[in-house]
Formats: sequence, C-alpha cells, structure tokens
Amino acid sequence: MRRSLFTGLLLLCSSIGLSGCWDRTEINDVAFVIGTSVDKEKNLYRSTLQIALPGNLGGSGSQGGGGGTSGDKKYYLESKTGITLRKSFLEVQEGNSRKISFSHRRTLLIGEEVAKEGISSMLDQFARIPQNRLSSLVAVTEGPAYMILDAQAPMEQFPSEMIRKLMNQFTKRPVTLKYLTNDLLTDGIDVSLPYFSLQEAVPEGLTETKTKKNIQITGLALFKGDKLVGVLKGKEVRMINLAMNQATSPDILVPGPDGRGYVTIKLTENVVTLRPVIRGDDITMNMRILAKGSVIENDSDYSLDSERTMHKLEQNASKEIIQQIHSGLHLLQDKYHSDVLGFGRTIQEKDPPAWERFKDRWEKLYPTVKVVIDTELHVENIGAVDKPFGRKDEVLKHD
Amino acid sequence: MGKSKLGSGKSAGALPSGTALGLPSPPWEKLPIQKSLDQNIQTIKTIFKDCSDMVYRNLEIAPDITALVVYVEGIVFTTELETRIVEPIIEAYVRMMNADPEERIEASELVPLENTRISLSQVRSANEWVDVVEGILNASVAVFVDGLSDVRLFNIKGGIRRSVQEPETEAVIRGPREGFTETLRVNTALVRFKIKTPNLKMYSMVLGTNTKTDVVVSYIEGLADPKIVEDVINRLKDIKIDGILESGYIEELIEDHPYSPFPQMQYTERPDSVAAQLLEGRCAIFVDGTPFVLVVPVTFFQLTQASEDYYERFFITNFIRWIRYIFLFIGMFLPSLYIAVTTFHQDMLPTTLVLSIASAREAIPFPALVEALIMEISFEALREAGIRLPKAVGQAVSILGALVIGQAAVQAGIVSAPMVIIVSMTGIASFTIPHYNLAITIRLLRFPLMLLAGVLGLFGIILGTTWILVHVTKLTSLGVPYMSGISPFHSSDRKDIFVRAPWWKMGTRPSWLSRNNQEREKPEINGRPDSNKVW
Repeated sequence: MRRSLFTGLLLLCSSIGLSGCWDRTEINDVAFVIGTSVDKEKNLYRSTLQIALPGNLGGSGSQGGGGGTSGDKKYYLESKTGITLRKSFLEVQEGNSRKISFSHRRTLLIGEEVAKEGISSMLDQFARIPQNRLSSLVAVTEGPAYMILDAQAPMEQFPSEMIRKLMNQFTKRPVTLKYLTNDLLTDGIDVSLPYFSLQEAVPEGLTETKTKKNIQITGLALFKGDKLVGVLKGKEVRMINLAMNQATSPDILVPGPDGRGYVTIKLTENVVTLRPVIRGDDITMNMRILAKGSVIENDSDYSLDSERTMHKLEQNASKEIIQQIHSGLHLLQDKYHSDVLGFGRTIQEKDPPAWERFKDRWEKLYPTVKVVIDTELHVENIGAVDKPFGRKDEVLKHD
Repeated sequence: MGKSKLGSGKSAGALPSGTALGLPSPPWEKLPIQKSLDQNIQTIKTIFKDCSDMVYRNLEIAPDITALVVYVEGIVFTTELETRIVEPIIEAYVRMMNADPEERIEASELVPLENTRISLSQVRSANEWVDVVEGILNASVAVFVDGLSDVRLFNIKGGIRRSVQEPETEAVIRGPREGFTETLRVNTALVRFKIKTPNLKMYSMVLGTNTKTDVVVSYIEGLADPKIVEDVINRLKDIKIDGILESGYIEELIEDHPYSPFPQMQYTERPDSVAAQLLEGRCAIFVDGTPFVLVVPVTFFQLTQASEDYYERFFITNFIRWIRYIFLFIGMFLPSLYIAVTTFHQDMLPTTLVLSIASAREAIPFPALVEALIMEISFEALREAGIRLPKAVGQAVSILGALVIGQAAVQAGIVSAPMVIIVSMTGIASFTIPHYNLAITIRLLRFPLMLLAGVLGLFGIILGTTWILVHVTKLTSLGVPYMSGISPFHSSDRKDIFVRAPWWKMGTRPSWLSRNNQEREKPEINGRPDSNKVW
C-alpha cells in the first residue's frame, strides 16, 4: 500500500518536470520592444519597433555574447508593413530570432498621416492582447513616426524613453492608451495628443557631422472624432494646455509694466476649473484659473520691491494669460472645431438635462460657446533678488 | 511508523538496568555482594576486566579490617577523593594504632562509614552488584569493607569539564553572557540561579542503556500545563535506545511530526532563554553531556525571536523583528521569485530593471533555474565548509569563496551579476533568523520552491507556498498548534507575535500555554511613567 502510494506520488511528481515549462521563456529569448511607431504606406500599416539590445546595454559579463548588431547602439529598429497593424507586428516577428514582447512598450507614436485617416480601427489589438500595456503613452509625430524613433536621444538609452519623459514633463496626466480610448469614446470631448517633431539641437555649422536633431514637443495635435484635424502650435499650446488643466508648470512672458522688456513667470502650481452657465442656447463657460507663480527672469527695468508693483505684475500676467487662452480658443472653436477642453463633457457633468438638449447639435453649438476667464494669480516668489540685478537703482521704475 | 513510539498505552518502566541493548545480559546481574572482601575483589575485577581506567586501592581501615576503594580514574574529583576519603581513613587508622593497639574493632562498628570516617553528603549504600557497578560508572567511589555486604557509594563527580562560557551559537549584544556547559548539574544550577521558587521542578531520569545519560525535565509547577509535562515525561520514558549523546537524539525521538522539515523544538545554549520559556509555561529538557537544552512546546513565531528581543527597548525590537520577518520572506522566496519572474513573467518587472537583467544575462549559458541552483548549492557548500574547516583555514575559504563565486564566476560569464546579488541576499537573509534549526529549514525549502518556480513560474511558487502554509498550520509541537497565536487566533497573543509590546503591556502569558494561569503582571500598578506626572 505504502509502496504503491509512493510510486504513484513519484510518477505524479515526474510528470510536472515533463509537462512543465510550456510557456517558459528565458529572459534572453525575449526581444523587448521599447517603443513602436505606426505609419501608413498606401493601404498598408508600417509599424516600426524599437527593440532593446541587451548586449549593448553594458551589463557586466555581457561583452561576450548577444547581438553584435549596429555598433554600440543600444537599440535597433525593425520595420515591416502589413494590412493590419497586428499583421505588421507579426511580420517583424518572422524576421526576429527572439520572441517579441510588447509588455515593455512605453510609447506609441502615430504618424501624422495615420492620424488624419483615423486611429479607432488600430486600437483594438492594444487592448486585446493582455501583454500590451494600456499605460503606453501615445503621441502624434510630424511626418513619418519612424523618423522620431531613430532620432538622437543622447540623455537617454532609447529615443522612446526620451519621448516618455518629455510627455511626463509636458502634462500633468500624460495621455496613455487607456485615457486616449476613454476620451475617444466619451461624448463632449475631443482627443488631443502631444505633437512631436525633430528640432535642431545646435545651430548648423557647429558640428562637422550631419546636423543633430532633437526630439521635441512642438504642438498639440487636435482630433475630431478619431481623426487629426489640425495642430496647434506656438505660444498658445502652453496656455491651452493650462486651460485643459494639464500644464505642469507653464511659463509666461509678461511684458514689463512700462512696456519694455519681459518678466518671465513660471506658474508653479495651477488648477483650472470650468463651470457652464446656460441660458437657453446661450452657453457661457466660466473658466477659473488658480495659480501660484514665481518670477524666474526679469529683463525689464521694473523693480519688484513692493506690494503694489507685484500686484500690477500679477494683473499684467493675468491679462496675458487670458489673452493667450482666448486666442487659442479662437483657433479651437472657429478653425478646428475640436473640443479638446471638454466643454461638452463639463456641461454633461454639471447640467445633464441641458446636455440632453445640446447633444445632437453640439457640433454647431460649440463654436458659439462664450468663455469667461477669471484668474487668481499669486506671484509668491521672486527669486533671490527683488530689483533687476544688473541695473543701477536710478534707472529703475517704481510705480 | 513514527507514531508507534509515542504510544501511551505502554508501561513507562525503564528496561531492567544492566540489560544494554545489543549486549548480552551480564552474569553478575542480581548477584548480591559477599561479606568476604576477597570474593568481592575477584568479582569486581571480573566485571571490569580489561578496563584500565579502574583504580583499586586497598586501605587498612582498622587493625585487621581491610577496605577497598574502587573508582574510575578521571571522572571523580581527585582532590575530594584524597582529602575526604583516603586521608580520614588513614588518619583514623593511625590514631587507632597510636591510642590502644590492643583494642580490637569489629567491622560492624564502623557502619555506617560516613558517620565514623568519611564526611561526604552524597552517599548511598548498595547490596547488589548492579547498583555498585552503576554507581562506580556514574562517578561514585565505592568503598568495600571486609566483613560487610554493604557497599558505600560516595558520589564525588568531578573530572575536567568545560567551564561556563559565552554561548557561541546565540550571541547577543545585550543580555547575559553565560551559556550552558556539558555538565547537567551546572546547567540546572544556572537556571535555578534565575528562578528561585520551589515550584521550579526538575524531574530526573536516566536514558540510554549504555550511556546512562541523565536527563532532567524542568518546568514550573502551576504554570506549565500538567498535561504537556506528563506527555513529555511519558514520551521520554518510552525511549529505548542504547545511547543518548546529545539532545538532538531526544528531539528526534519524541517530536510530533518526524517527517516535517520544520523544527518542533527549540534548542538553546542560554540559561536566560530557558528561564524565560519556563516562566511562560514551557518545559525544558536538560541532557547531560551537551550544552543544548531543549524547550517544548514551540511555535513558529517563537523560533523567529531572539532572547534579546525582550531586553532591548520595544521600538528597536519591533524594528528588528520586522527586518527579520522581511528577510525570512526573502530567504525563502527571493531565488524562486527571481527565477519565476525572469523566465515566465518578464512583464512584471519595471522596464529598466528587466533590461539590465537581460543585459547581465546576455552571455550566460544556463537557464535562470540552473544558474540559481548552481549558485545556491555552492553557497551552501561554502557555508558548510566554513563550519567544518579549522578556524585558521576558514578565513581563506571565505575569501576564496567570495572571489570565486562573487567575482570570477561573473567575469567568466558563467553566472550573472544579478544572480550573485540574489544569492548573497538570500544567504544574509537566512542568517537573520535567530534559531539555526528554523534557518536551515527555510534554506532547505528554498530548493523545492526554486524547482517549482522554474517549472510553473509564479503559479508554482503559490502552489508551494500553499503547501507549506497548510503543513505549518497542521503541525503541532507536543500537541500545541505550531502557528498558535495566528491559528488558532487569540487576540491577547498579538502582543508578542508581529510586534513585541512594551513590557508594561505584556499582561498575560501566551494563551496556548499555562491556560489556567494567564496573568503575569499588573500593568496598571507597575512603575510605568504616568504621562500626566512630571518626573
């Protein structure tokens, strides 16, 4: 009895060893995708994968083996086309000796062309495959997205890592796949994504080799539905970002109170709230901006040494903020018709019956929404000096 | 199989003395002592034939009356023998000769010898050879007197034994520095020094038919659960073995679950630890010839606690206790978690970490499981070598081991650097457990967990952990649940399991011991500083 029981147990145990390991993948048989980009070529998706090369990451003992690819670069790009996005990934796998793992993809870049045609259809596979992180950050690029993936990122190991950090700096809550889909599916708000492009890092002629280009956020890609309708660029980007309550610490150039030079203020803390006021079909949005700022540069001749001058500075700064937000909103409402601030959703939240009335006509109503901006700005910190540092007292203004 | 020896139905009587297991019954068993000294000398010399350590000393005890002093050389206290036995007898004889040479003295007048000649308190008489032989072997000096069939046995146990030293296996920063020795009575005395109540009982028995080892079961009457005490004594009485050389023999012979990897008894070298356990209502088993005293019953959490926990202030103790718990977990699970995560669940690691592990493992020829097994086994070998090797060589081994395993293996590309970190962390973790027997269990269980992790990933670890938890919850030590305090849960036991409450909060003894006598202090009247009072 004991004997047969023991034999049975032994057989049972050995079966673990035989059958086991069915999904075992050694860490060195996995190709870690750090970032991907999606582009369109005719009817095909072109997906480009940025795959980390562990052999070049400089772990001790790794000198001996690993891919001897592409010099000392820490990643390499592999790009294939396919009818669907997933198909193009599968094509990449065909040509890769290691199992491609998307579980560490941190950024997903969408080329401008794809975005213009709509992004809804390609989102499915991101959610369907559990390995994909819904926390990947999504951005739109100027031109083909793979160009950005291969750009210089001297500070980071991978360009996609740089993109991720830039996006974290840019917004309070970076747009991940999860939030993107959420916004896509919600009525009354349109999607906006950071817009990346390559910028000259140094003036031409400084380096003898080919000019270096850096990755940079230069605008805000505005969507209507799932299609890219335009890109907001210039100084309004910052203020629209602020109006979306997403700006981390935007800076604003305030013309000196006497008109000469600029005082730069960084809004270190800011909270923006929206409150709709509805009379019939007249919709007014009350936008309230609470912000604390600090002066980080003063190249005007304006002295910041009294309560009164500070007050005046705050007023001027508020004026500047309001003016820039208005000019940005003008573009959003009249040019792109993209409700990235989520006016519709705000109405839906605060006044659901009203939203029921507007819902079907929102398209038409959105441009007519009036926005009243009310700021409460406190410049709390002016730095280590109150007067402009490099100027004589006699030339300073003290009004 | 393991249970049969615990059968309580058997009579508790020891084997008839003299019948050593595996030895033929001696012919002198039951033989009485003769009156004639010559006959007795002949018998004893036959019994102790070829025993060169026996000493026979003839003495004239009175005119025409000869006595024979018999003892084993080395195990009796020689000075005592000279001054208390031999010298008085000779002096008395000389006095007698000088005083009145004509006066005759009868042998019977000398009886009992301890009243007339020898001033030693530990004395008994024997009429049978069995008792005499046993007495002599137990460091008594036997005195045969011609014409008397009554042998006097004077116990002057001596010989060279180790003195009280600092315990090496349980070092503390704060706390008594004395440790048990190999001498039973020194050990019991060390505890008696600490607990001065007649309720501290020392139940004595002799185990081992050849070694005749003295074993003492100690407990505090009124605190220890009488059932447990009775159980311990009965189990000890059931032991039939030829020799007990260390308390480990007894531990294995009387534990509840011989097939469990978990220790069900605590051994300690520290009298203060034993005293503390006795005061909580446990029993201690002292065994002659070893400094390790067994404490029963134990719980899992008791084995994760050091005696110092109760001497240092409770903030520090709680911190250290939690460090220990964390490292207990690390010591058990870290290698298997590493294996599972690197071979099955790469997605669970932060990206930067997974990349640096991947980069370190790039040139490694083995799968993570094999790599881990190589490293863990060589670490265990290194540890074992460190214990066995003479102290002078030990250091060389540790340097060699650190270099070979730590650095050269990584540089040669045989083992990855993260693995070395994992193994060293695990090694350190297993040394944070204060009781070696639990530490070695944890180290042992690591290996099946590693195999499970290598085969089934995290699922395997969960499987293994569940098995261990079920086993541990089922386990008992002398009938007391191993997880007492948590399972079964008793709210008053919270004070000394995950935290160590300050002494002014330790109002009761553990609930699973001394059930009828729970209160151990009156916290409200102790000299605890009153927060409203200015001192």
